[in-house]
Amino acid sequence: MNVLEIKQLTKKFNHFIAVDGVSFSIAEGEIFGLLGANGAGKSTAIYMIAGLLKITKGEIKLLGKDIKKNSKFAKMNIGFVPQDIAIYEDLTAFENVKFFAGLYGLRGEELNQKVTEALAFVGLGDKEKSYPKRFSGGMKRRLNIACAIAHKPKLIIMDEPTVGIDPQSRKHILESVKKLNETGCTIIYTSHYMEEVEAICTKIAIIDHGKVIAEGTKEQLKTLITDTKDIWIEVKNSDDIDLEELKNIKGIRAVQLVNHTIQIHSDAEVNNLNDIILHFMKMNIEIRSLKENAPNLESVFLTLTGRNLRD
Amino acid sequence: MNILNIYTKEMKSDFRDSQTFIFFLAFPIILMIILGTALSNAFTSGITLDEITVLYKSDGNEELLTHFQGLLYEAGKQGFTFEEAEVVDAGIQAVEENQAHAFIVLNDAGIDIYGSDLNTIETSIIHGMMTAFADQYNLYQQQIDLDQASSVPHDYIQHSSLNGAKQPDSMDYYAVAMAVMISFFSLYASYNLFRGEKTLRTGDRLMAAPIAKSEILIGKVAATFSMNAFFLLIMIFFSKYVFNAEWGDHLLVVITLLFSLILFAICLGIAISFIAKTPEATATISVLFVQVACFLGGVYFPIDTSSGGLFSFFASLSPLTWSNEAIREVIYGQNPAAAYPVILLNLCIAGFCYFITVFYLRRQEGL
Repeated sequence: MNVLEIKQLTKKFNHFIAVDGVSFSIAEGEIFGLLGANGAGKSTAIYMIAGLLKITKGEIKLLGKDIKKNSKFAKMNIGFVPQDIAIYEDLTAFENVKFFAGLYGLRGEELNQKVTEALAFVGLGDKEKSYPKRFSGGMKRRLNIACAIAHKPKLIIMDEPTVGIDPQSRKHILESVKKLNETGCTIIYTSHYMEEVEAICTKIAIIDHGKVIAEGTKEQLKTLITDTKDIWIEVKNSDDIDLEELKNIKGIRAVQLVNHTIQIHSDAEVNNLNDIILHFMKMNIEIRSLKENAPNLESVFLTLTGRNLRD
Repeated sequence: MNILNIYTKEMKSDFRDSQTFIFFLAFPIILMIILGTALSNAFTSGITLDEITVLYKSDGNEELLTHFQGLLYEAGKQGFTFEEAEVVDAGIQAVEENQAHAFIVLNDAGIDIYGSDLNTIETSIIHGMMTAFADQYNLYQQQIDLDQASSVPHDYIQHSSLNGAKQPDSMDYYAVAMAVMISFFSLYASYNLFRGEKTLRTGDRLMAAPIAKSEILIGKVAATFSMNAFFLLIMIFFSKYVFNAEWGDHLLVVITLLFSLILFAICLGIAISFIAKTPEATATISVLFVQVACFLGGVYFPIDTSSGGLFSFFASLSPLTWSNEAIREVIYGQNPAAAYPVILLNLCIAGFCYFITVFYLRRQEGL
């Protein structure tokens, strides 16, 4: 079952098209990564899903219901973790979560219980009565998440929830995201940290210039660009190497020697690593190190968009 | 229910901010003490006299004496002391020796007054008072003659007195002025109500929740109104019971007028925050508007708007002027009806500003 279905979603600001006919769907239980450089349109898309921006054209269905016509239903079932820390410094951690959760219709003992659970979930159970102004950046980020999850939404939208925090807090947040997912929450996750997306997302969409240019699992995305690979071999003595002979090995397209390192550019689909090593053994050349570049999301993104994620 | 959530949250935030207490309570009270003390002389236009002692002697005119005793009773309440002299000579001697300010003899020929050059002001006052008494007595005599002629008694005389309104002293003046000022200071508390959500980035989070913009607006306005009304009431009762400031017999009407001014200022502040493009512009416009309105409204020193001229014209445009003048009319003119047009005007402007806010809220995406 799809939790979210988006069809031809478009957003125009005067003459500028920020989101241009985006379509994708998110199945229940997925952690859906949305990748895009600054200004690509991912935040605009997220804001439309969260009901913060009006839709110019297209359709968003949450749990089968059009969010335009069922705005309150949609908002009740979405938890939004904004990119910026959005909490009140003059309210305690407990009061912050209670205030926001209270807007979702929770009352009395049920409200207090869910607030306590949310704070415990993000590791702030012992900071209920503390004011956020005394919190570290990581703790504020965790409180930011607690404010969005106390009402137990079906879909949680996390817009770069780990920006500017220490590794320990990042680890805690990533573990929290996984735990939330295990409890049945579907999550939309955006980040500038490619390794985070690669580590936790089960499905990824790459958005560029307002359009989704690729979508799928990370393995599926990698296949989009993996027709070549690079192998770096560092040797002790490069004097006796015959580069032309190396080029005769099946699949190798080009060979280059830089100092004591041989860079081999080869077809990705040909498994020729054994042949290459055997060649060096025959020539009695001692190999000091060997590195093969496996394609990652960074290279996928770079190849598809022509720019780095942080551009 | 979400209105209550917003209201509670705003109240917590306001009352946890120590600057709120300083700005809305300590500052006006301190200013009232400073201005009320420093400018006390500016509010005293006359001179203060001690008790006036008058001796009198009735020399056989019983009818005149009967009327005169009525005067004794009323004048006794105004700081006069009347004592009957045993003989005429003793009364004259008491005046000569400055033991009494004047001596009055009532006889068949009329009223004789003996005064002293040593007490010219007191003598003039007594002379004026006795002249008025004599005129009134003569008028009653004429009515008696008319009644006897027609054999049907009529009430030919109707008394109308032009009593000058009681004038405020400096503390009375500044108690009202500060109350009006802190009511209008509500603008400072309101112009950041929505901008603050943007600064804190909580606006997006609020709008992602199932809450209507109107609920946020009403909750915020209600909370800010409650906070300012609370501080206003403390200030009024503090000035009334600690400084004995005059608030008149229609305090409820005065408070209602001030509440309408608070609502006006809150709605205006929010409207400015939507009309101005940037937070800096909002703050500048708000501060300028409030300070100019306070200055022209006679908050720092009394301003005469009846003298004509350009300054008077601008002064009469200040909401603090019309509120100040209406309150003084209620307190010193004993005229609560003077407050009603001002209350209506304040509420109408508040309503207009509220609709401007609603217009902008509906038009823009997010808060």
